[in-house]
Amino acid sequence: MNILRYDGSFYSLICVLVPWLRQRYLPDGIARENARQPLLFAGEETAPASSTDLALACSACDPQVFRLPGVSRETWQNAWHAFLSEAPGIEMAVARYLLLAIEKQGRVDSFMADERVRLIQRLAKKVTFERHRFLGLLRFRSIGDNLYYASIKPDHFILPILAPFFVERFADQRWIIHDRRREMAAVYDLRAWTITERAATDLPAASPKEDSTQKLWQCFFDSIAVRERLNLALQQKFIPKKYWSDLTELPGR
Amino acid sequence: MLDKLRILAGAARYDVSCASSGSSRKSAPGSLGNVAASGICHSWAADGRCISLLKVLFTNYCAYDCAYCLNRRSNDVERAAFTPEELAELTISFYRRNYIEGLFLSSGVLGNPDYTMELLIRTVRLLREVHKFGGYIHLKAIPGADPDLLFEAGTLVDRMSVNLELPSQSSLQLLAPDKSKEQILLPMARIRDWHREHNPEQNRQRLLPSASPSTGPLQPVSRPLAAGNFVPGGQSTQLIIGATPEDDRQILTLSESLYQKMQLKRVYYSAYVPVNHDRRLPELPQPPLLREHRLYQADWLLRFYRFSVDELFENGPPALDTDFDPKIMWALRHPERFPVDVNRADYETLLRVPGLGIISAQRIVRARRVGRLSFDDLIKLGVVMKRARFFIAVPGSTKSDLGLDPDLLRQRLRYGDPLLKPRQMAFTDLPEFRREVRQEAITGQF
Ligand code: SF4
Repeated sequence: MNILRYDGSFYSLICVLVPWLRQRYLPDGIARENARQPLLFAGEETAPASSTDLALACSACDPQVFRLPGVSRETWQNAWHAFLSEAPGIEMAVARYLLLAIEKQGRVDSFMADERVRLIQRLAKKVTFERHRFLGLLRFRSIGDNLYYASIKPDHFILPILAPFFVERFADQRWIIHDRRREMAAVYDLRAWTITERAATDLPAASPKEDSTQKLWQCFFDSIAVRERLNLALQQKFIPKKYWSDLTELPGR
Repeated sequence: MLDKLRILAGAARYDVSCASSGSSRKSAPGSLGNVAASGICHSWAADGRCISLLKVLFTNYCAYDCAYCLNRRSNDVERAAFTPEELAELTISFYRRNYIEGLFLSSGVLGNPDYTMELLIRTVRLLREVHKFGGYIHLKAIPGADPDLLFEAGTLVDRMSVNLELPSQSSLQLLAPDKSKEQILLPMARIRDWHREHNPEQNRQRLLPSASPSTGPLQPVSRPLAAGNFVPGGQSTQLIIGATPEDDRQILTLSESLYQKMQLKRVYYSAYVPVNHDRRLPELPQPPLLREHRLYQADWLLRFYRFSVDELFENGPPALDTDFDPKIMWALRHPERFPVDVNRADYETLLRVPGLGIISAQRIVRARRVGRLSFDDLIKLGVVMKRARFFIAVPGSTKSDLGLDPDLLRQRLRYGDPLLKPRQMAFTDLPEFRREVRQEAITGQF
């Protein structure tokens, strides 16, 4: 039995897989060694933000680094996004998909009816959909001088693909996005961002003006609805209840 | 401030156009805000409509007296007005918390159009220049404002709209005596020309062929400006549906010409919600939501499915079918075009199959390059077959799905399809539209 071991990061998964894929073989199984280390190399502790982390994060999904023939950028992205779904057995699913990609020489994503491809594409879509959802539903609150905090509970591990969006959008404010389900956080300090483990206990207090701003938002949220067209079912379809607790506004009324 | 916001957001809520799309901008390094090309919904209000922008009136004081409007001069309502400073700060504090994509600013006419427009411009200028705000701004042009002000506003915002509100000159005369069609179409044409002049590449990739401008000779008012800086998101307008007697065909013909001649990005339709008692207005038990919904679907066919209004209504009455979406309506009137061979038909033909949306059609075109598609393959591709199966030929589909006579087909399409049962319908109920809706984050039309 050939069981490959990797440290839980996508990068490490690919590192252990590539020699097998080059030989066009699949291992019998892939096991995750320790706790989640989503982007960083094995053994690295949570490091302070630095630009090298950012570079690493990007290279982790850069196909060129591994020079796998037949694996296009699109294929690579699909594998990476599907991996973030954290679905059980995702490692072998990624391996099968990448092997097929090598066999099909770049056209793998056109074989949408093939189970190996369908599975990955579907998971990838779920993950990117959830990411897109949180681009809108994520709520920051001010917890200090130019410092903002958001708490989210996503189904998938979307922090690595969510953070870059907010780095671009809120480049001039410091922020923390806290994944409460995994107790991980993306942290941006005006120069660079990183992902760290984060304990649930150190929840920050809100800054003084925060409360009145939240009230204003709730007021806007309630005032903008056209009562003649009330449709709470539709509202809930767009914002499933599981997201309500982290919102500033109060849906369902 | 809380009261102001309550009044001025409440007063803006009947306005439907809230899409934050059609534009995209990278943030300047180390600064605040950008514009996402696909648009983002930040929340959904209790009416199920997407909230993407802080949509408010600058003021609901108004010197005009439009019959359908809550804020008309002759109504006794609570009035309020922001100051530019207040509103700019509010926008920033919402934006920084990721509540919104940006600002949608409209206003009643405070004193006179020019004065109002100046206040709006001051607000937007504060945002862009003092707060260095790079997010989305949609500004409503005040009818009758000076062209210079219009131009200035256009250099600061992503999208501008001039609301037509009523689909014909006679309706306008009846219900909005202070406005005239010229007063609305002239600024529209100006914005179009300035946009054309300052966004050269954008205009080359337009979806619809642009007919020659028909709004009569405008004096060419050319202005120096860096490329891409005049309303990069284009312009839109809004029509109120059901307050006046125009039929669907007339309305869509108007939209079609607005898309072609005015190069509008969007026409929004708003089911008339009676807010005033007025002899000139119809008494409706409910806002005509289904009609609004069908108009949006038909509008979609005009913009993305390469239908023309004449085609759509060929061999039929000038009203859209209430039982079926407009694509099915068209297909039922054109049995000679079906079934479509999924393995052979070109992309445009696939787009005309009821049940196939843009994404399904693209997936089919891609997947069939690496092998012939069967009925089961289509299902695996994620194509929703419920309606499409009646209109396509594909190996593995049962004979009985095809060649039904139109009446029987009607029955089968209606029977057992919960989406087609009469109830309050949402635009997003239809799977083929859902994905695309999400992508453009269209917001107002539900
Ligand atoms: S101009 Fe007409 S539609 Fe606009 S706020 Fe005034 S009364 Fe209402």
